[in-house]
Amino acid sequence: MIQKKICMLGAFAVGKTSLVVQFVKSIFSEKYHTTVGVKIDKKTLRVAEQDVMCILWDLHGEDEFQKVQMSYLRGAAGYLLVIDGTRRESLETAIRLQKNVETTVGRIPFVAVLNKSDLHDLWELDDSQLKALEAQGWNFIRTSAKTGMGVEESFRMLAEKML
Amino acid sequence: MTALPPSISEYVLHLTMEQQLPAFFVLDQEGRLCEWGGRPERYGISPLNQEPDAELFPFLHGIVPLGDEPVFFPCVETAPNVFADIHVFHREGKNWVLLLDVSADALRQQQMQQRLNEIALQRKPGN
Repeated sequence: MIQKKICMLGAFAVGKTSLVVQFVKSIFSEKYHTTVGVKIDKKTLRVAEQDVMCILWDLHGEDEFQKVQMSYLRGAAGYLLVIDGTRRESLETAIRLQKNVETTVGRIPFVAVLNKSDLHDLWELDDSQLKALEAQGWNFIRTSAKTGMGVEESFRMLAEKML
Repeated sequence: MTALPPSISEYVLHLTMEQQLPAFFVLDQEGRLCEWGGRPERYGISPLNQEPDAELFPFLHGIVPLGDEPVFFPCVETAPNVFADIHVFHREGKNWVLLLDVSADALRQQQMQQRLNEIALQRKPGN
């Protein structure tokens, strides 16, 4: 079976762990639980008539005190760059992380995930900034780890890019 | 750097064995598990009669066979509430994997980080 290492990257509290748990176990918890270090999970997807085992590295979030170590990305085939649509600054963190990955690991496939789309009334992201990033080759997908909307599709989109 | 006297290096070794509960695995160039020891059960790993695949060593995917450069993955949760610093390095034609327990530090950091992040989220405009 094809195996692919996928890293979850993003600012703290954007929903990286919730996306993994929703994807792997179809569960959502309202309680926020900070990740330290990394937790590894696995799930098999059927993509382009092939079984792909996704080895999911759920990395701790980046904040002003804690930077993500790029050594975690060794051997990664791709990554999901998670953004909290209700926190504009999480997009800035994502932009910085993406540049950092490209500098240290090189160009590997990624999908930018706009999470918490169920909280649309609190949405803070500016469409023009997203369009500018799309023009640079970013692919966005809206998700809600709470409702499950777009979650499997985001992993599937990344898997298709990695094959 | 001055060499450490045996009494110090023995003390450090004893401390590491007692507190960091090392486990090690040796893989040959083809990635087959040929030796293991220490405390693998601490990390939820039961290597007996198993091929070293993604089930057994998910953290090795994409990095073995290893080049000259060692790889370090800090603070990997290998079992519920068990965290290890994972060192992978090449010696004598083999890949060596060393796990050292850092659970106590990780759980302390988790509690502190949780509080800091909750405060940061409350400071967010509109909250």
